[in-house]
Amino acid sequence: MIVVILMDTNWKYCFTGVLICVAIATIFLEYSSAYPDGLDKTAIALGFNDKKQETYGAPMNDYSVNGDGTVNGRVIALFSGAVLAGGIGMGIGKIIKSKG
Amino acid sequence: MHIPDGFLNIEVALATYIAAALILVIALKRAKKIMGEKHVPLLSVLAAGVFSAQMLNFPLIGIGGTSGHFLGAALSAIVLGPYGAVIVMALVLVVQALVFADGGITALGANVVNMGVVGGFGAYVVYYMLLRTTKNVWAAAFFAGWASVVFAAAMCAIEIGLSEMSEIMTVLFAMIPIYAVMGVIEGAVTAGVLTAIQRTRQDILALEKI
Repeated sequence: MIVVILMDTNWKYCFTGVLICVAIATIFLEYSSAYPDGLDKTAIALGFNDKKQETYGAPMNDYSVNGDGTVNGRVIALFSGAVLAGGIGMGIGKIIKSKG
Repeated sequence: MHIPDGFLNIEVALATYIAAALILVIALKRAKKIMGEKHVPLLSVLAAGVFSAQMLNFPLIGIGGTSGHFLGAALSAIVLGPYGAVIVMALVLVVQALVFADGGITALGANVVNMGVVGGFGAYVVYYMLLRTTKNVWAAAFFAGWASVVFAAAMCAIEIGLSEMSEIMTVLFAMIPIYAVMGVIEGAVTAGVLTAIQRTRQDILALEKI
C-alpha cells in the first residue's frame, strides 16, 4: 500500500503541505502557552479535576519524548504527529477513492 | 477541550462512542461516493495542519491563566464539507489520544462528537446561512469559526454535566465564556486562511463537499 501511495504524484503535494505545517508550527512552538485549557480550568474551578485518570501509557505522553517536555522534545512530537496524521489522512483518502 | 479519561460516566462515554461511530460510517460512505483525486491531498494536509495547529496553545486575553488552541473543525468543514471535517477531526483525535495521551481513550467518542460532529456541522450550517444572507466570505467564516468552538464547548459541558461531575448549567456557565473568547481567534484564523485560499486556489473551494 505504501508503494501505491508513493507512486502517486499527489504524495509530493501532501509531503510539501505537511512540511509547511510543521515548519510554521515549529516557529511558534517556543511561545506556546503552558496554561491549562478551558476544560481543565473549568474542572479545577468546579472541583472535579481530581477525577482525571491517566491509566494509558502513551508513547509520547503529553507531547514529550522520554519525558523531555522541552521545545526539542515537543518539536519531535510535532513532527511525528503531523506526519502520522497526514500519512493516515492520505492512506484513508487513497483507500476510499480506490474503492469508488 | 479534549476530555480526558475519568470525566465521563460509562453511559455518556458509550452513547457518544456509538454516535461517533455511526456518523463516521455515514461520513466514509459519503466520502467514497464523492472523493476525487484532488480531495486526497486536501484531507491529508488538513489532518496534518489541524494536528500542528492544535499543539500551539496561546494564552487567552481577558481570562487569566487559561490557554486555547486553534481547533480546525470550521476550516475543515468549509473546505472539505461537514462529513469531511468529521473524518479529519476523528483522525487527528485518534492520533492525539493513542500517541500523545491528549484526550482519553474512553472519551474518544465524545471528543469526536464535540469537535468533529458538532464543531464541523455547526460551522458548516453557520457558514452557509451567513454567506447566503451577507454574501461576505470573511464574516461568514469568522462566525462559523467562532460558533464551532462555542457549540463544541457547550456539547462538552452537557456531557460532563450528564456524567454528574457538576450541574449541567454550572459547567455551561463556566466553559462558555472561556470558549467565547477562544472562538474569536478561531474565527479570525478560519476567515484569514479561507480568504487566502479563495485568493490563490479557488479550485480547492470549488471541489464538491464531502
